[in-house]
Amino acid sequence: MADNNKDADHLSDEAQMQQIRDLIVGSDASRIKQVMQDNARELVSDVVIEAIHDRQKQDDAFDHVLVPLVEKSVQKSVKEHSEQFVGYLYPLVGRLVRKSVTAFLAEFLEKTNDLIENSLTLKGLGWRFRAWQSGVSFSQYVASQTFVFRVEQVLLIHRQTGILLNSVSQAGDNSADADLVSSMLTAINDFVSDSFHTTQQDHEQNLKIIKTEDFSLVIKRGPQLLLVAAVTGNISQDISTKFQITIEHIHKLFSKEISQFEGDTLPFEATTQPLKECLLAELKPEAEKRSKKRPILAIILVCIVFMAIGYWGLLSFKQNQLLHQVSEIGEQPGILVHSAKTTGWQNVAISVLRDPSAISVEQWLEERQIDPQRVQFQESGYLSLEPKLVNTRLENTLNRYPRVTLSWHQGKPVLTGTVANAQRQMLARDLFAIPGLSDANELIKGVSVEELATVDDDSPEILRALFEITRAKIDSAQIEFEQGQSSLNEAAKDQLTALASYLKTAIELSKKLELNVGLIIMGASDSSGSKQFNQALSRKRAQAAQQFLVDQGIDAGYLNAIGLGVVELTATGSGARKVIFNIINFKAE
Amino acid sequence: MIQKKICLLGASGVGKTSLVRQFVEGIFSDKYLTTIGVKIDKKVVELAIGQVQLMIWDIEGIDRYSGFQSKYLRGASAYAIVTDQTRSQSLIEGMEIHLMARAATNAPAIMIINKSDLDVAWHWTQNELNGYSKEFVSCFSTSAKTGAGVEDMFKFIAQLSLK
Repeated sequence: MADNNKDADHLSDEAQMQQIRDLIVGSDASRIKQVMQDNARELVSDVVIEAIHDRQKQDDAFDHVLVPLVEKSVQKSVKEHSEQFVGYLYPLVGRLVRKSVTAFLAEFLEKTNDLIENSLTLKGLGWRFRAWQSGVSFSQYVASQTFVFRVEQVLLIHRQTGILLNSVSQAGDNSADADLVSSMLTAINDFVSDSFHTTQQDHEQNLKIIKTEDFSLVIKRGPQLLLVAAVTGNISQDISTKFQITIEHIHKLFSKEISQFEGDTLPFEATTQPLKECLLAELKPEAEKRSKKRPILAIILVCIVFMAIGYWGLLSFKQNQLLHQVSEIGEQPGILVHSAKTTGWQNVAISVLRDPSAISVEQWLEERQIDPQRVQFQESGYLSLEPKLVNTRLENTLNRYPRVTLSWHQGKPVLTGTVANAQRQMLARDLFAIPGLSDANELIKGVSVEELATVDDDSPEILRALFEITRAKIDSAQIEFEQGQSSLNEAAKDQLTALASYLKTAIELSKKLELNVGLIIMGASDSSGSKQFNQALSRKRAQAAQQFLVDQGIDAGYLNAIGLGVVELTATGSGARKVIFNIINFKAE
Repeated sequence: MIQKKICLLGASGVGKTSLVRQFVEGIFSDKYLTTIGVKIDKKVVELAIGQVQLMIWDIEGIDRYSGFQSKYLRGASAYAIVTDQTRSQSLIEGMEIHLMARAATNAPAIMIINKSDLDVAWHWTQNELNGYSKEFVSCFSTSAKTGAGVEDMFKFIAQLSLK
């Protein structure tokens, strides 16, 4: 039995192996198989982890199988249990975001630095020129200068049809014509193998590498697939082997998909991961050194940009603040802001409607301590009916009437005072002319007219007028007597009392006017009786009136009583039994 | 997306390249045709079952003296023999090419009689033509100049390639 086992070690052929197995276990084969199957679970569970570990160590094949499975199951879980997933991930998200922002900034700085160094430095300009000269893009030229090699793109092609199954590239943007390139490459390979066939008819010539000055297409061939790597620079044997291993892996993993290939490239999307692993690059030593430098140029540029943005932001903030401040002028009574906007870097322009009674713009700016240089004002006039402005107008009007005082009761104006009638009328006119003043009627009622007697006005015109009025009143007075009588009846006494008061006023006024006055009291009688009697009667009547006035306190020196005798009144045909009065005046000597 | 390789074959000057130009919007590059004898373009065709991207291999015109690069037919899902109805010879040559192609591939083939915008000038009778077209899945009359029949022909070939 042991001998048989030893012999079996030397045999490699599968069929022979089977024979040996048959010899050894013979009819027990099915039983052994049965036992194995019964215990399969335990047997596998004993070694499964180690087996996975060994295989992974050997050629990373486990990754290739597991990654698409995990991706799919995660995708499914996220789709179906998104709430739970959010719960799991929530505590991580903050950290992730911070990390990615940091990474982004670092990469941004790095890229900016490269850009500046490559664009602004002498070397950069030189490279740019040489790239232009050799007809390649600048980035490609930079790559060729910076890297020992770099795998730019990897294509996976179906050999027989030339159809592109998958492609990955360094830049991420797969060339739109990659599928045409694949087909052409297949055609070129066919062309080459046909044109340069060797004497051995069965041996087909195949392209392995297509090389230009600094670009090569490395073609790795599997039984059904091609792996084509577009490489800048020179690749080492290691990398070339890596490509070969990759295509072998893909063949192994996708053998079913390859054999069933009918033009559908979808199943081959899973090859992206192993293909991406082929996108390798190696920096040149000096480039490596350079990349470790801190990106100082970029940091300076970024700082300048931030400072500029900051300064601009500050200016803009201040300008907006000023605009806001200036716009507040609209809160002033009698000023309406029509438009307000920023102009230039730090100025504002404002257009307002302003009532002439409102505060002036310049004054307002000064009160607010705003620099008038920064404010362009455009002002148009208008009439405001705002209560406050109406009040201002009222105050302005009343300034012309010093004897009328303005006071406020619960926000409403009240006028008090006493003025001459003419002035009161003028005031009423003025009040009615104030726009927006609704209660002018009420207001004017508060102002009373000055009584003439209490006039304390010493102007000669007024004194003269008063004198004339008093004089007219005296001159128009006459008192009646009974026939043949010279005594005063009650009515006559009343009249004389009033007359005495007028006369006193007239005397007062005449003193102020520096006039001399005298009252002539003229008695008259009717024609009954003798002429002498009537003459005497008329004098007696005048004297009676005179005596009464003296009794009322009038200085007798002012009074001159005369008898006129019979005064015939032609209109009535009878005489008048009256005493009449006349004031005479003359300038004092 | 499903991708299929198809080939256009035929005698020189029958209008294979013009047919492709009529069908494909962006021409990849004509200059390869004369270099290595094949020009490849692609076009997505909308079919009832979905989209198919045709990789159209336009193989250089062949005459009886020049060889035939049969490798270009490898992996083709269908091919078309293009003839010119103004030249009797183009059908004979087309049939010779078809014979050679048969030896290289089992893919289904269609016949295209091109230049339908011009008057018929070959001496083949309808019976003779029917005899020849038995060899093919279908026969199309097209004009690369006016575009008549071109779209239909390519749609048919796309459908054919899926079988």
